Amino acid sequence: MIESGSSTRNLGSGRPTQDTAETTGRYVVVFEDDIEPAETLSASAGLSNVADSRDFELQAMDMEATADAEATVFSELGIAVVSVDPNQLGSMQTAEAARGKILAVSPELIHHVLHEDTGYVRGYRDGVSDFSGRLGAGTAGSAGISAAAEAGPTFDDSDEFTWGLQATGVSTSSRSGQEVKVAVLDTGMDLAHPDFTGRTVTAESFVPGSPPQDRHGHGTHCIGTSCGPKTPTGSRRYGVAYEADIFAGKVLGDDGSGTDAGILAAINWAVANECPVISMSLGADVARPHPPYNAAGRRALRRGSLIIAAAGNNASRPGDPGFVGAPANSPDILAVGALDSRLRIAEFSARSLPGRGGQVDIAGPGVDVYSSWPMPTRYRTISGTSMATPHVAGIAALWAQATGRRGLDLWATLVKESRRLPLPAVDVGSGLALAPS
Amino acid sequence: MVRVSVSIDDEHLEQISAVAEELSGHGLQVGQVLEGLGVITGEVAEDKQESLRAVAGVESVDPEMDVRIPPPDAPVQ
Repeated sequence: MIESGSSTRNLGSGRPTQDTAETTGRYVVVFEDDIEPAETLSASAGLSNVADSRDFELQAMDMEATADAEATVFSELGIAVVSVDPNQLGSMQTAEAARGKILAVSPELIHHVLHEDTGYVRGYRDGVSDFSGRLGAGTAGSAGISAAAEAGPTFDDSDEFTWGLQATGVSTSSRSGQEVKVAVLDTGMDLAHPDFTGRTVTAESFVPGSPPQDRHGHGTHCIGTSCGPKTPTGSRRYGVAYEADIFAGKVLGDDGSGTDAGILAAINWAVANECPVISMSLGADVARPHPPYNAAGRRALRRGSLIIAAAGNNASRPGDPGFVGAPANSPDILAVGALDSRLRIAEFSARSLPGRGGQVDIAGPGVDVYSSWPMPTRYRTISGTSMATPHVAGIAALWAQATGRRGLDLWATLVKESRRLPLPAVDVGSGLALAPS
Repeated sequence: MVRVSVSIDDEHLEQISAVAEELSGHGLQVGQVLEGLGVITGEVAEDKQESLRAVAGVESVDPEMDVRIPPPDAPVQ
C-alpha cells in the first residue's frame, strides 16, 4: 500500500520516488531578470512584511529574525520565499502587477543529508549480474552494463532528417548558425554542389598546386554535415548550421594527404578571419601530442577559435580500443569520438590516451552518416570520427549563435550541455553533443 | 632536408619576425611565419635541427607528421 503524505516511498526499495518530496508549505518565487521582488510582491499579493537580504551586513540574512516575515527576498538571486496560502498564491500569479515579472513558482522543499545506501547498489548489481548471465553476456562489469544498455535508444534516418540530426536535437533546434563562421579544413569543397547555392562560402587552398575544389569527397561530406542546408531539394536534411558562413580550407590533397605546414597555415587563416569554430576531420596515428598543434590550439583558443578534431579511427573494438592521435590529442583541441545510431561507441572510434590532452572530450554521430558528396554522386553515406567531428562543429556554431560564447567558454558549453551516456568516459568524454533548443 | 614546424614560446610571440630571422641565420629555410599561432614552418638540413632548438624563443622544433585520410571509396573515413 502506498502511504499518502509528504513523503511517498516505493514498495520494497525504501527510496523516495522522483516526483514526491517533502515540502514546508511555503513557495519559492523566481523573478525575471532586473525585477524588484519586494515591489512585485507588494503590488501583486499585498505582502508588506518583507525581509530583504540587502538589509543585512554582507547580505547574511538572519534566518531566526526573519522567520515571521511574509516573504524573504534574496536580492542577488532574484528569488523570494513567500508564506502565502494557495489562494493568495493563485491571485499573486494572475495579478496584473505580476505580469511578465514572475518566471516560476515552486513549493519549498526540505533537504536532507544524503546517506550512503550500499544495500540498494549491491541489490542492483546482483540483479544485473543475474539478468545478464541469463542473456549469456557474463556478469556485471562491462558486459553487464552493455546488456542493460541493449534496451536503449534507437535512431533512424527519416525522409526529413538523418538519424544524427535527430539524436543531437538539431532537428528541433531553433538555431541556424547565422553569422557564425565555421572553418572546415579538409579536402576542399565541391563549389558547384547545388545544395550550397546562395551560401556565403570563402574557399582557399593550402595545398600547393591544387585549387580549393574538392576532388576527393571527404571535405564536401564534412561541410555538408556541419553546414548543410535546411531544406535540400529532393533530400532529407543532413546539415547542422544551415546559415553559417562557410570557410572551406583545402589542407588535404586529392589523394587525401596533407602536411603540418598546410594545416597550420589554414588554422592561422581561420583564426585571423575570426572563425569561432574550426573543424578538422584529419590526423595521424601519433600518440604523442605534436608541439606545433599544442601551440596552435592554445593560441587559437585564447583568440576565440575552438578547434574541433576527430579522435581517430584506429580502433578495432572490442579487442583493440585504439588511441587518440594528433592533432586531436593536443590539450587545447577538442577531440570527438563516434557513436552509432543506438548511441554505442563505434567499432573504429579511438579511446583516450592517458596523459594530458589525449582525452576524447565529447562524441557525435559517426556511423552511417548521410551527407553531400561531389557531383554527380551528390550524396553519400560513410562512417568515421571524421563524420562525428562536423556534427559537433555545427552544434558548436549553434551554441556560439545562441550564447555569444567563444573559445574555452564554448568548449565548456558543449561539454555541459551534452547527453551523458552509460559508456566509459575514456570512449565518449562527456557524451553525445546536443544542440540548443 | 627535413620539413619542420618551429613553435615559439609565449614570451617571444611579439618578436616572432626577429626569431624567424635568427632561425634563418641558423639554417632554416623559412616557409611561413604564422603570427596568429606563434609557429614558423620551413625546411632545414637534418643535422641543423638541433641548432635551431638553441635559438632564443624556440619552444620546440618538430619534423612533420604524416597526415592522411582513406581513399574516397572507403566505408570508414
